[in-house]
Amino acid sequence: MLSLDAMLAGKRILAVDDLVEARSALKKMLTILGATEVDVARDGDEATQRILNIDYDIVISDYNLDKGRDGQQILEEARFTDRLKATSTYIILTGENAMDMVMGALEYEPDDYITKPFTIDVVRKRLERVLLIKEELKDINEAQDRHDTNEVVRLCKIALANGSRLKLKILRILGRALLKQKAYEEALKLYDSILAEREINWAMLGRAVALQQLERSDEATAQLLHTIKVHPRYVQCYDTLSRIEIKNQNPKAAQQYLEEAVKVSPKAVLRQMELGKLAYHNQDFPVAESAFRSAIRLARYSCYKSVKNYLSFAKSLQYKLSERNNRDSRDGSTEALKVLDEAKIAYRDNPEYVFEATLIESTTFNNIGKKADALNCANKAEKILAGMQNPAVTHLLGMAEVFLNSGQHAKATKLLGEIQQRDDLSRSEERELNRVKSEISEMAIRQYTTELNDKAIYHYERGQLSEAIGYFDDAVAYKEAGMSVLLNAIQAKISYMENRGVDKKQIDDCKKLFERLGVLHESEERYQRWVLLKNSYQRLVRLL
Amino acid sequence: MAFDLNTLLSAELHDLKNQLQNVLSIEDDLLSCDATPVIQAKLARLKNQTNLLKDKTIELLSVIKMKQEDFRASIFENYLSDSLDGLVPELQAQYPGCAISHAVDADSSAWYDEQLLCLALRNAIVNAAQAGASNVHISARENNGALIINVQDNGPGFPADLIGKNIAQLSGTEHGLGLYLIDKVMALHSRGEQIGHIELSNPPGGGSCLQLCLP
Repeated sequence: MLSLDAMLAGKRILAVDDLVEARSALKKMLTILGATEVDVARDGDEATQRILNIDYDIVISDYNLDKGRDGQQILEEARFTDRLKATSTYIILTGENAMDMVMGALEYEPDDYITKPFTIDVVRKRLERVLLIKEELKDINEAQDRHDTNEVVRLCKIALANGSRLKLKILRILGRALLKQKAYEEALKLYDSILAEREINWAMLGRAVALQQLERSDEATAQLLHTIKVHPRYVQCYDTLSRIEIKNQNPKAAQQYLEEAVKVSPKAVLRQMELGKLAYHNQDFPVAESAFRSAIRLARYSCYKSVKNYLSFAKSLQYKLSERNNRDSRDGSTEALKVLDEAKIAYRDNPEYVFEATLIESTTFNNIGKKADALNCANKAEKILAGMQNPAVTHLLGMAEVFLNSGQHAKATKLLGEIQQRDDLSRSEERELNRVKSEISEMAIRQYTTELNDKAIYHYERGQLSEAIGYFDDAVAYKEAGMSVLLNAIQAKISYMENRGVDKKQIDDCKKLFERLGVLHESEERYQRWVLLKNSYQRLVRLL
Repeated sequence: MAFDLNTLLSAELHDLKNQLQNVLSIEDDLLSCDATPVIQAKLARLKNQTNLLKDKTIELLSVIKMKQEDFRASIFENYLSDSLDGLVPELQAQYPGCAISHAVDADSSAWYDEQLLCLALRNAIVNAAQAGASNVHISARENNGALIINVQDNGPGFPADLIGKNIAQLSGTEHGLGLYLIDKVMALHSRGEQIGHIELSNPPGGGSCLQLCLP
């Protein structure tokens, strides 16, 4: 058997604790036990920085670190980014009674937990055990680190046939490898045999994943719901349930499962991002807002930091904004503009991201009625776009919509025409193109009817009633014509009849226009005018 | 607002536990000061008493938790020797007149809720020490995938009317909270049809033996 000092000598070790005394005590213990290369870090940021730059064999971290991320999050990131190999060891130190919080909620489990306070004897014993296990699994873990799944499976089977004392650990690795190989039937059989012995959480989850892949999603769902009952903090079950619901085209239910998972484990960045996307898709903006807000906060100093979070967060705040700009709207717009500024600074070297942020800025200003600011941002975005090589279709579509919202219809029409010329549009891009186009035609019509109305008024004011009526008839022919256009048209027709006598056609036209207007309420601005016109109209009807 | 007695009690007990933790750290500070041996000894006793109070508080918290309808034990693979390594020195300090030891293999793992099992073991050891034993020894053996933990002492033995009885069927806590709690904890551990339980015996050589059977 290898001695502990032989196993520790020459190993790169990182000790993470926020308290200086604890940090140096741990380093001292490790040195006494035979470690020769021990680095220390005081928080998540420092630990991650070190792990990114140095291949550590052993990391020992306190769970609670003063600010920023905890020991579990450091582990997750390190494994996720492949910066901590399967052959490396990760140990978490926890305070008494914190185990409840730590255990069973994890995608990446540490190799061991040590409860504080601990003596050097405890550390010796734990390290000895965990390093011996690592030694025994060395070949298998090395194959895992090479991503050589076939070899992992082969080695696991040999170890099991030889009656390894680490049977359960090996079965767990084998199960995952079989799922990776898409050998779902074999994985299912393996998990079934484990579960016949004991209801182990990872075997229950593995069985559900295998079932889901075998298109037996009802059974998978039942297995997952049962697992959650036994292990309520096993969040990966919620993730899998959510994926099943997405596959079943039930995004609302999928969102609910992710919300449950986030309640159990609020610090997992990737899940918050997933929830944000899903909630935004479901137009559940308050949930999207809170998920993206958390994602930004949690990822600020981590490898998951992503411009998407900033932009999506700003977008998910738009539901709060209104032209009246009440308190909610003011808070929302302030937060959106702040986060967009942050994104523009953090990603200033990437014109695409700055462009996207500027577009959302313009939309934000537009939504709170600050048209001049919206136009200003639109112009900035236009300049950035001009400097971008091969802008993506989504960028062009975004620009077109912002042109439209800042009243620049001609530019929008021109850009949409250019997009339409392209033959590389995806289906969703085509849908988006049509949506923006229909928006533009609605806007154009509204603008056109307003122009007709102006011309009609010009003639009306000069007593040229026939000409005025001609323009009004053109304007009201559009279903988009507004209330004042309709009232103006009625007034022109009534004046015409009052001068030239009652006319069946004009009476019929007026009747239809009144029907379109419906009944106006006293509180409405144009109520008085409507009543006067209605009275004149009824007087004329009686003369017919 | 709905008034939930359990929530209130739990919050108060948590607070109490934290306060006791503060007292303990002050006592630690005092112990590290220069003081006469007499004062040192008194401080050590004070610390033991405080630890006892803290343990009682944690025990009450666990009982409240176990009473909750939807409560389930969090059962994971644990190393029994790790759990005992934490527990034994602490109890040894509280009961210096009773030699507490264990002979559990460092590599033998078992499936249990660590917090709950420690609660049960603590009660078993304290029962023995308080009954007047001068020696308590814990050992364990595997039996068909189940783990049998023996807590053996050289005390006066269990009352004759308890031997061979099913503790779960005894009415409540008439034989002290200790055994009742230990049995409750064991019953929260099950595997298939098998349910955790305890067995009491008085070995021929004297003393008592409490068996904790983890399926």
